[in-house]
Amino acid sequence: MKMDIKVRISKLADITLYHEYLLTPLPLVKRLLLVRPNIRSDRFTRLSHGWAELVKTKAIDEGWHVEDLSGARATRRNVETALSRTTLQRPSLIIHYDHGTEFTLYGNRASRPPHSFEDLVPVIDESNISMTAGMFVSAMACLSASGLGPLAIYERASGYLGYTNFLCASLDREVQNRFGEAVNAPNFALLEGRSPSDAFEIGYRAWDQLCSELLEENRFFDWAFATINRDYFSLLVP
Amino acid sequence: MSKKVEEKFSDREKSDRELAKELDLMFLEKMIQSLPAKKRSKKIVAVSSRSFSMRDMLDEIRQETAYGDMFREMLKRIRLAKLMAK
Repeated sequence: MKMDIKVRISKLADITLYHEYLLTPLPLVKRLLLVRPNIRSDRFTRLSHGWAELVKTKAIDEGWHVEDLSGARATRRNVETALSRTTLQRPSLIIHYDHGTEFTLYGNRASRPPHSFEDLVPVIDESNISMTAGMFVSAMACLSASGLGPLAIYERASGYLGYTNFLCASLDREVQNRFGEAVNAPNFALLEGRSPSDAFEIGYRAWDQLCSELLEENRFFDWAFATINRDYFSLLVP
Repeated sequence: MSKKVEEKFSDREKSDRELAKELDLMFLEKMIQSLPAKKRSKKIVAVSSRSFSMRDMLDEIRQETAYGDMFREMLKRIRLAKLMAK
């Protein structure tokens, strides 16, 4: 019987958070599950969906088998089907782009073109996170590394990269793609076969570099958004 | 610490918190006033499913929402960065 979420959460204190080091690279099975909903009226989603496209291209270039649950295909059912495949067919890496809250990563309601926020529904949450056992999860979304991340580790995921606060995206056209590059940096590193700790360091440095540039350019608001992203970017490990 | 001192400290903490919030609001209002009118309501950041202009940030801070807390943290960083840049 599934343990109550409160019981599971109470055990989270045993889990090591932040800046711990996972020195071994990800398993050699190069199977990526990419989850990237797309809501037309949602600015963040439109941006992150485009950033994820670059991750898909990178993954294919690096020889990964990619299952791309994009837009209307990013349903809970499709995610759970992918996670429940037999061992050899299961993803070793799950990369999610879009909205998150403490215990939830969002996708789309059903297989139809998603237009409004009503189409945003939980696709990975406390009730199915155990399906990520043995996999590495990278969640480029708000907040999930503060709740779902530790729960994933408790349920034997091999690691969790994500954000413990809101993930901010600048809407300044001159800057937004640079935010995308920083968000993508750790995922590119994972796809190149770097260890999770390397990927974390690379991600942190990408944000730090962007912060320095924005400060130099006197873009104070964008700088502050980037510092928030940098400081709440986290790697969780067993 | 005696109960009386504790109470005084707690009152002071509360009034300081209010003062800090007022300062954040004033700082942001000044920044908004310094912008050309058409830029004041321009959305500058997307967070979660929402986009915010500087005016929206003011409202979030006034209402003490989770977004407001983050914007206050951000404003504190900007104030310090501007001071350090001088």
